[in-house]
Amino acid sequence: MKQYFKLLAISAVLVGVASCTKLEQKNYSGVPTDAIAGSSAGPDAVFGDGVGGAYGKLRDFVGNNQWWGINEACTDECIVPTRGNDWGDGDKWKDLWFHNFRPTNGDFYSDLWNNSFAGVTACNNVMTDLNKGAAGPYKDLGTGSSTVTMAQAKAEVRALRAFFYYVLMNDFGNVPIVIETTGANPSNATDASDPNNANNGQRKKVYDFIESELAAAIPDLSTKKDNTTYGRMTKWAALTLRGKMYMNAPVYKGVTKWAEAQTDFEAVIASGKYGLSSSYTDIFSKENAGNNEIIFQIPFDKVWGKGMKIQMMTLHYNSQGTYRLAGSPWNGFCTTGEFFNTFAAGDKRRDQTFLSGPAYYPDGSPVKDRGTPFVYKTTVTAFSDPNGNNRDQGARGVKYFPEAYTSDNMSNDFVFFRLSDVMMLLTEAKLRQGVTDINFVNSIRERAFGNTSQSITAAQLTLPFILAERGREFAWEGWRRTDLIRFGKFQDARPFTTADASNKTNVFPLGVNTLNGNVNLKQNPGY
Amino acid sequence: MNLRNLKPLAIVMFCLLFAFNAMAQNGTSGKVVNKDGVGIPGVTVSANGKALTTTDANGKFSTTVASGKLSFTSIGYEGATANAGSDNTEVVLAVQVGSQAEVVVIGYGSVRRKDVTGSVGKVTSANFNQGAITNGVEALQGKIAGVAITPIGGDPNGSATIRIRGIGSINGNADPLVVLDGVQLSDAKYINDIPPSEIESFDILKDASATAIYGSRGANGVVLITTKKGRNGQAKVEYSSFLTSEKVANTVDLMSAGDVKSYFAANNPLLDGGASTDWVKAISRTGFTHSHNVAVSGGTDKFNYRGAVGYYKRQGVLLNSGKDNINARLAIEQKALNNKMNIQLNVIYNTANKDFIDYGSSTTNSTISGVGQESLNPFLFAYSMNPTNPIYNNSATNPYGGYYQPNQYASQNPVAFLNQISNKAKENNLNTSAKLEYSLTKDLKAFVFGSYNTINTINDFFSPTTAYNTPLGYAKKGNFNELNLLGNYGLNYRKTFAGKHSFDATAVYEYFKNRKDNFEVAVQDLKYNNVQSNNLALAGTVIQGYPKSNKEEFTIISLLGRANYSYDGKYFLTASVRRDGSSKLGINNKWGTFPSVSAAWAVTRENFMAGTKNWLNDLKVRVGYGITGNQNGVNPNSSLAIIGPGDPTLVNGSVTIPQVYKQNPNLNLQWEEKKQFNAGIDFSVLGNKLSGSIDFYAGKTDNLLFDYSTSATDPLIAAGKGMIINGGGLKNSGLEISLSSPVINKPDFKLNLSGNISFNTNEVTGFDGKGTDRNGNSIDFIYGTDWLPWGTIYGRGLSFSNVTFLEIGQPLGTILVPHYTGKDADGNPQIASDQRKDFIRFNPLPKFVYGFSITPKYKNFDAAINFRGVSGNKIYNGTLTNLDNAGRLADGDNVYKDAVAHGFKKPQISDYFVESGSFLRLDNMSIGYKIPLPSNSVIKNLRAFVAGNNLFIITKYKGTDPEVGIADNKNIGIENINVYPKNRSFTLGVNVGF
Repeated sequence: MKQYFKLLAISAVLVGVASCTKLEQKNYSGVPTDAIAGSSAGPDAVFGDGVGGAYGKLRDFVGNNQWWGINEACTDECIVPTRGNDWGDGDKWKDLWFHNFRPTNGDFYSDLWNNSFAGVTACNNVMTDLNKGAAGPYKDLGTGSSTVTMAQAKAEVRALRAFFYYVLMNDFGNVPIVIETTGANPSNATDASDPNNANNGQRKKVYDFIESELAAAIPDLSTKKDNTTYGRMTKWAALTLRGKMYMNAPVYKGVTKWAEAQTDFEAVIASGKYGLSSSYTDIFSKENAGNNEIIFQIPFDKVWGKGMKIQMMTLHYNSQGTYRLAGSPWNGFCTTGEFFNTFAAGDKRRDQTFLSGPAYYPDGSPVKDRGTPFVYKTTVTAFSDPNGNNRDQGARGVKYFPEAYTSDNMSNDFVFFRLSDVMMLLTEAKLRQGVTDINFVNSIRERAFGNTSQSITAAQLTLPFILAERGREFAWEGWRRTDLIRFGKFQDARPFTTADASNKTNVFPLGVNTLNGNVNLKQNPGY
Repeated sequence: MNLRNLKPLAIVMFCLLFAFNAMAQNGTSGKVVNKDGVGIPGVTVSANGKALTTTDANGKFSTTVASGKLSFTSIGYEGATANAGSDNTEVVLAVQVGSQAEVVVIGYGSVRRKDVTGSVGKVTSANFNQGAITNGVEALQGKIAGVAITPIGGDPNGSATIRIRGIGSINGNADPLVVLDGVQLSDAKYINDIPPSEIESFDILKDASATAIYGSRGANGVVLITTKKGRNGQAKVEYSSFLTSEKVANTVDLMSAGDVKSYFAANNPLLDGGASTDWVKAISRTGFTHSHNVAVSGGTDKFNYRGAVGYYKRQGVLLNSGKDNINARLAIEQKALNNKMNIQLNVIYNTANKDFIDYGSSTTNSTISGVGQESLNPFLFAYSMNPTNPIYNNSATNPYGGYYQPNQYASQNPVAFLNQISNKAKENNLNTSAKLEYSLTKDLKAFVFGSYNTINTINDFFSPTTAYNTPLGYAKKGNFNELNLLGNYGLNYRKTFAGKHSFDATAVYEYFKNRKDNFEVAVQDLKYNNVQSNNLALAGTVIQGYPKSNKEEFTIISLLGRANYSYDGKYFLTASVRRDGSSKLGINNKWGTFPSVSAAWAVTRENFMAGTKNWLNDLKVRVGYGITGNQNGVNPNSSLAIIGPGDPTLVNGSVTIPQVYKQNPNLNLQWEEKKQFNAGIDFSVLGNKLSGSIDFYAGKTDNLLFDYSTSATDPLIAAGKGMIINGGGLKNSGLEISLSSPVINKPDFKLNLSGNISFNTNEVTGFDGKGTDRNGNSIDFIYGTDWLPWGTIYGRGLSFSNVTFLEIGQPLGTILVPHYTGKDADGNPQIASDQRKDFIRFNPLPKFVYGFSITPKYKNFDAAINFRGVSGNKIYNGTLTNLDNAGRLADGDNVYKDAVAHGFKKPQISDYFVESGSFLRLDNMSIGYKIPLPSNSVIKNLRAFVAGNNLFIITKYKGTDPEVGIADNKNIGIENINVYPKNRSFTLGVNVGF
């Protein structure tokens, strides 16, 4: 008996050791990585999933702490006053308005950097996988049929990546160029040269990179403007992007590219795919997906594409009831009285862009704040008021009109490029080459005033007029800083401020977390 | 006289006594046993102060005294008395804490206290805290040096955090490993599912030489729980019950409704809402708990059993929070084959219905996606809501279900919030284990152990369309399963050679598997509020990202061995080694080895110490060193590239969810590695009137799990994601002293004093580390800084602002804030400088923590008084940063009571709000009375007690409670506004034995 048990115990040990030494790492829920990076899942996943994920990164751009908020709240068309305790936030909004950009302003600059590079990385992944994968054809993201050639697939990824790099170059200047073939090393370096100096090395390199990438991509990009290219990089979006970059080439590279810009813009218009929307508000409404003025947009949806929250950033808390929002808005972003007053009488764009005057609930009763009927006042009297008495100040941005039952998930698509912008830039590029063409400006103004009474004459078409008209037409669309820098006006005094001491403010600092995370990056000069 | 010669004589005497006893009808005889029913030899039996006899080798005694009381005393045990006259008397003696007779569980075995070479603390049930104990670890709060147990306020669903010898991890999980009767629990929080009344003892392995036997899971210490077992003797039935009432112990001092009204009258009468509401009172209540436990136990010398069922229902002190809980357990042990085989079965089943409230704490199960933390905070709402607002608004057009809502940012009716939102979980936890031991020879034993543990949780979350945040309603249901399998077998060899050389060696193979899977759906657009989350199909929209499910698994395979050698009871040496392989870790680092060595010297056993025997009864010196690991913070697939659903693509009128890289692979991912040295002494002096231990330890944890947030220029595969790398380091060193004294140990009157104090210093030593790139090449991750932002406070106008940091050379979570210099003309607080270099630094960790107990027993009365305190730490008071701000009165918000006097107009982070966190708390006090019963009573044992918890606290801290939750390392040193208030409770209880 005893022997039997000894035997049993010893054999149990041996059996056990033999059976239970496998250290298998089971990945039940994860997709095998080579399903994407290789042949097993087929080429469709490689392109469709990859590029879809990269487009998704764009939704992170439209927020108070993101590309939109940072590029807007430092310009004359948008101010975020400190209202009592609200929007103090360690003075980061004040620093934006006063152009006292600091690397430690919260995570502002690091988040902008990370979001843009997240887009770059997503594009690089697709390029890597395309290089590894089958030759195609790939399934088209829009039509679902397998018609996309390798060249077309790569063109779209390159154009989208160029867009992310354009944002990085425009905001930071010095950024490292990381592409799919860059060696695996977290320490991508930049040089410390002044991105505001036209002879700067790195910013110039990024500019050249974007230019060559777009040149390579444009011939293979889709020329369609329909549901299947909704929110995607078409040939026309890429041309608009390149044209916009050419417009600011003197800032980026110290060269003028007016003629090249003109060529690109004329090609977009000549395509005949786009027209001015008869209604200005339709361009920004929650049903704006198919608007024929839009060249490139970020699709948002209250269920499927969340993140559009301009209504929350701007409206007063108690406007929740007025628009039946799903959350109390934050009472932040507004415009100054000075900017509000740049709209002439009869310019419908003023009230289509900004909300002012008494506020009411749907039943007609007045919205009350601190017990008294609430009025959105157009004048901002002080940047900050410790008692919060400025909480009703500043007209609010309602270009992207509030949507009932949503909060930070409005369905309005965010418009990056639209035909009106192309027309205005073309007019400007020609004027800068000595050619005066008032047709486009006047068709835009005709829509704004509802008639031709406010059409301008050739003599009235000057660069200052163009900058001011751009302010009115494109207010709160994210491009004001870029425009002001092009016109050399970004450093000018605004209400409560004096002019900047130097043009170092043409680029933002790198955020402290960005620098901490990569010891090889160099802070922009002066920060 | 030679002892050996005495032996036959003793046997003869014993036989004689036995024979005599059989004849004597009027004497008293019986047995003196320990808790496990094993006889205790050498116990002095006396009557009226006169010694009569001592117990024999089996604990048996016999005396002719047949009336009055007999006393039983022995060194190392608590004394006891019994009525004379029975020939079947059984006396149970409890081991004195820390005495050398104590059996100490050390993992894969146990040893006598006198043989221990590492640093091990033990608390047995006799010394547990009493009162409203629904979570076992609360029973040993303050009892063991170096073991800090902090409950999450008064949350009935909170798990107390256990930190052994400081905080040993930054991003990883710093919880200790918990082992229940040999079953390694997958998470320390499951202590909640062990019925406290079934716990016999806790053994805490503190130093690395002791915990190294648990290898890659032992770095944060090990808590070994032993449950009660049946024992040889008549069947026993025990019933215990208690009834508790608890209240919020303390809240922030706010302006009263009356004061606010007069302020409004003077400044803006329009803000007066006309009512008068104490919002904090409105969300709190007196919570009642009742608890019942029945246990049956008994056995023969071959077989014993214990079964128990228990139930409790606890109401939280905040509305709509609570828990009810049912548990059942069975433990049986069978000896067979001439006692060579021993089989043990153990089953514990626990089912809990939890009613959470949502306050952004890790204990709550759910939040509404897309709603920020500031919008989900009943405390913030209660503190800042205008006290002139009413609770209800019964107007017909009110869309908020009859509740008043102010329609104001970050301000909501907290009563509506708690009453309307339902957040529940049902958790079933089944833990079964079996052990078979077989003695192959006299010295060699083989054993096989297996356990099966399954935990199922169903979460239900519901927010109606009338709730302020969810005009479309929100409902969510989830099912979470967890399975843990553990199997081990091994050999134990125990032999003494030549009378002096004792060996005890154990070798074990072990296999552990953890598998989790879950399924969850969330919906909105609810058509019918009454179905809550019970019919999700009725909802209009499935929330994007749902339904979702996940399954993951990991395996740990181990080989371990330990050898103890002692010479002549004087010199002790222990060495252990464990080799662990873990499937979770990177492919390059799956296996690791964790060795330890320790030694002890029983100085007083030396002949040359004979001269000091009169005052130095016992002295042992211990030293040890060990290497342990921690892989708690690593998920089963943390080292892999993970692909999952990305942001939806909306093209051509349809939605496509792309599959994108979600996680960067790290092929080098490994456990955190801790090396620790320990030196200590155990002593007993003055005729054993004072005993204690002093331990010093110093250790360093390297390769910390670090969530390296990349600068995204890194060509890593997952866009915008960081990587879990091993980097940086953390040092912990400290000193622990525990003392205990049976000041009085008379049969009728006993007084025990015990206390402990522990000092710990903690220092961050670095951040940099290694990971791999997308191609699997090793790369360095270097932070270009010697500090990183850490904990944040939040609130209106504060964004999420850092007040604590990780700084090389400073303690974890060092508070670093600007210096406050006064107010400017506007009432804005001014700071000396906004430059980091000018900021003031404060230590968030206590210099020392301490606890002491006074336990008197007089005749049938017993009492226990337990104090606990910490000293030297600072707390950043985020609650007052928000509320000490008169500016908010202009919005109609309520503020801190002195806010108007202080006159601040905006929240400003500064050292003004840094406060001392030192406190001394009367944690627990109980008085029991053992009701005398006639000897023929059916009821053998009847005791009633009253107890109070958190009876008073001495502290300068102005927040709700200085013991702010430390569940999350990021909250160290911060009181954010989301703290479930600490409770104060009174308990009435009864224990009955049949």
